[in-house]
Amino acid sequence: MTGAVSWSDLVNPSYIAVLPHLIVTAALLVVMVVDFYVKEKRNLVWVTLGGVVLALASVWWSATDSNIQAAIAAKRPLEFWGDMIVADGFTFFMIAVLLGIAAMVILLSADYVAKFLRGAYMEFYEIVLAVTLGMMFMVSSRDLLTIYIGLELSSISSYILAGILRKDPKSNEAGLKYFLTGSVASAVLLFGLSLIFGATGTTRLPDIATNLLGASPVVAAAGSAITPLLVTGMVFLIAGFAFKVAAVPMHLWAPDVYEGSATPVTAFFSVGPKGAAMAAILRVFVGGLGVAPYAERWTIIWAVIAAVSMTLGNLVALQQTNIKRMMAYSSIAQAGYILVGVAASGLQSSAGISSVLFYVMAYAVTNLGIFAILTHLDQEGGWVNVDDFKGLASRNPMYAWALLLFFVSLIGIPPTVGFLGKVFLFEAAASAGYVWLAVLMAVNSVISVGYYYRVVRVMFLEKGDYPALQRSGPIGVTVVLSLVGVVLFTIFANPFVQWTAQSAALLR
Amino acid sequence: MLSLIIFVPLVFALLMLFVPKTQERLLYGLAGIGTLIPFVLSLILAAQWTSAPVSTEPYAAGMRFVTHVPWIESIGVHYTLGVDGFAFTMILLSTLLFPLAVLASYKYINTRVKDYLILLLILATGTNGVFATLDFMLFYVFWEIVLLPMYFLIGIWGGERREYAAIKFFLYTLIGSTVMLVGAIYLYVRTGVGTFNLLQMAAETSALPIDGLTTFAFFALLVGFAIKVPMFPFHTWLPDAHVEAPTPISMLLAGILLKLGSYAMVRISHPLLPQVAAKYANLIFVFGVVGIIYAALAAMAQKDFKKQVAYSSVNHMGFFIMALAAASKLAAAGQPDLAQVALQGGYFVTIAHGLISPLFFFAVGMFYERTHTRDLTKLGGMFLTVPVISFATAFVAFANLGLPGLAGFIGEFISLTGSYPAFGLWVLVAGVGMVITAAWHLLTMRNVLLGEAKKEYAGLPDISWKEKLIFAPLSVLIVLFGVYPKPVLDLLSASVETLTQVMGLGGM
Repeated sequence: MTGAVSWSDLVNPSYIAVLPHLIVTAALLVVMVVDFYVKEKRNLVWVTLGGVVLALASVWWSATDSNIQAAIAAKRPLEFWGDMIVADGFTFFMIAVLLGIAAMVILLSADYVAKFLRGAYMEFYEIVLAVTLGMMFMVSSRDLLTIYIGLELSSISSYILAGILRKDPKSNEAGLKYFLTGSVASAVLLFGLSLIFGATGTTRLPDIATNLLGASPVVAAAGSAITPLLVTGMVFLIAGFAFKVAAVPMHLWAPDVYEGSATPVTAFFSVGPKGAAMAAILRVFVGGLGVAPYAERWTIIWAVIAAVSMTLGNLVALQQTNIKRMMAYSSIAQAGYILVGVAASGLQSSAGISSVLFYVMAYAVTNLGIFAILTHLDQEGGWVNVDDFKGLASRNPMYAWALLLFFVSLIGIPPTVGFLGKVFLFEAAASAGYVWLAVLMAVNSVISVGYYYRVVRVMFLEKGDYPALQRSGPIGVTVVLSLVGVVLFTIFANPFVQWTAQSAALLR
Repeated sequence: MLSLIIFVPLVFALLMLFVPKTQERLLYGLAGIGTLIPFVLSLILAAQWTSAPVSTEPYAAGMRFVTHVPWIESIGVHYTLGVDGFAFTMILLSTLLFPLAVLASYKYINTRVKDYLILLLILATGTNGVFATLDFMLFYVFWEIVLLPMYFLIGIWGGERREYAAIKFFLYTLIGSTVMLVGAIYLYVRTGVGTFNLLQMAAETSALPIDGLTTFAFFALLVGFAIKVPMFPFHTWLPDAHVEAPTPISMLLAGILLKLGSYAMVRISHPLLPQVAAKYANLIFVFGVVGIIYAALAAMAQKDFKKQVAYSSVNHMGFFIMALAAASKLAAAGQPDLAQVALQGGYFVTIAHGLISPLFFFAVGMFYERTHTRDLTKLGGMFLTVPVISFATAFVAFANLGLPGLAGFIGEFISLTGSYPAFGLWVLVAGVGMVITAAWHLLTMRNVLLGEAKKEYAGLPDISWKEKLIFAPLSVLIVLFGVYPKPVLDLLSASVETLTQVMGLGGM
């Protein structure tokens, strides 16, 4: 990376910064066009996957570009495209995570789509790419407008994705429900953004931060950032974002959408949009609104939301018999855990941010493994109830042990990446003074054992009469990738932790 | 060397994944080798003990065989191994018991042998790791690694109520350990020490004032360990787990797993917060003594042979709790010499118990294997049917009730005399517990061993070679340490001295 000639000396650095975005866009267009001309779609799936993997590789290239690196080292990250795209560690880390998620979703859905989505074969992948692109823009900007546009691109595509099983009433219901509630949430979010814009006169987050410190006439008139206008804006923003991450009390859409959507879609929803929204929350709240008297207000709101989300999510998950619904509530609880880090980031920004980033990564790699296995069971026989897992340990021992390890990771027991994620969240919470939140989180991890345990119990301790599973190469690969990730991100956590720490340092 | 002791079993477990299920003899052979190698290695370390350099680094002061490699630098987690007397005696015990447990499983566990042995080896890695590590995070990782194999070992190969017992064990320990994690992270954040190294943390945390949150942290740690020990109000999982677990697992549970808790107290909770420990020494003493009396009475009331032995574990560990409380009180009161006596006695109890109770469980198992009952009312006249086994059982029962000349007596006697200066005549309550224990042992022996030979048990085979092989090493050690405890006490003395100094820092 420190060759004699830097790429950014030869190529306009604006293109290097958005190289991953460009590659994903190109892949999207190529797939869309070629789709019209080929009958055998399966090879096109690998083209999609190749595009995403190439984009993932290009992240490394962009991130290690010497000019960009130098700017990051000088703590003044470069901004491109009229200050709409920022090339800092945070951007690259989140883009890498999101592309990794997209790649795994494409991989795990290969057989499912071939079996159930023949009518919308490539559309599925095109929309997945579109969602990914939206999320990438969402995390790579320091401007409210770009963040919002990215969010909308990913949301609107998600609505289609939720309803993509056109003949299945449940999927239709999911699509419609997601669309109706989601658009209200977007409107609320936009309203919040416009109030903030009205009070500070800018959509650029760093400028918002300085204006909140007194430069803005509204703040100057009131003498502090705690004015009705700004507080209302903040509350609307919190409500909108809480919807996007499926946090209580804006969580009611999640179980229905997760249950009704095709399983690979659920896999994607449970980690992708959630992770991107978490990143956007950090950008907006820490980067823009993370100013002294103001931050103390929103951090307590997020803390309460976190506490309620994890508790309610876990308690309701205990009642579920459908695994997809159970995982929906589990993901509400997980959103609660991540929000602990968000709350902490208001007071201890670097510890909070890096814990959120690490946990998002840990959660993604774990949850995708679980959903890969769920997808397999779903496509074989629609086995998505807890009872359908009976005797999985003898039907497919690898899946059973893998699922056990993933659950262990979600609970937060070592030696898994979920444990390290929890440790960082605990640490962030404790250093921000939220010891009660950390204790509540610990109690919640124990509650969550209850529902994961039911699955583990039927898998290992009960006999089932279902036939053995057929082989599915792509899903097997996804599970192995997840397993490797869950273990290796723990043992060789150091570079990732350093990366998150470096990303966190620059946000403000 | 320590790394090998920890990870050789794990390597063998991975190796066994590739051995076909049906090759049971080969699997047992591999498991035997995989547990014997650590034992041989720890014997080699024992031979080198006196000549080994004692580390003076702040991260491992007073420890031998130190390894120190960074793991997650940003939060100061290191892969630090090193042992002192407390740890090394436990490693010797653990590496001795695991081969014996494998031997005891041979021809006893007949279903899913491969899974069983793999889990057993993972368990060995976990326990050896706990005893060898000096970093809290690493400690926690190993601590939790113990949990899952144990759950399955009880849950799959246990008795009738195995599922209940297994999940009860799992939940109890998990609740304790997650809260313990929060407590430790709180201390880390509060002191700003920047490392999870136990010795460096202790240097900072022992100077903290006694306030609500340090008290919380102390009890978070203590309860996490007390559940494992088990200390009186947290002991209810133990009888269930023991009764349902297969014999070899009961041996390990009593011999080593309980020692994880006692070891963690002398390594973590008491050195970290000696001031709080001293303040609440009376409370801990009460729990210890109530445990002694209560468990003795409860054991007397049982009809199930194995449950009796399980309660006697609670009883014996009560002596350790009592002596530890006495030591922390005396050390804080500026009487380190007296504190050392108590601590030495208390720790000797755990070592003696680690030799005696596995043997006792094994004796119960020998009867159960032959008669298929543990019901005390159904057994009888065994001296006439299986004389050698009965003699062995009588021997181990006498050792367990604390007959002078055997290892059990030394520890209990020293801890009683050592606790007297701290709590005065109240220690007599514990003495009463000893009398009750002796009483029920004699009653049980009369029931099981004496009386007329029962017809239904005529012609049972007497002790086999396998059983003699398990009995021999443990019984030799019980007699040896009963008449000549000096080697163990010498091994402990330096660590005891250090710990009393540390606990003396908490003096008010």
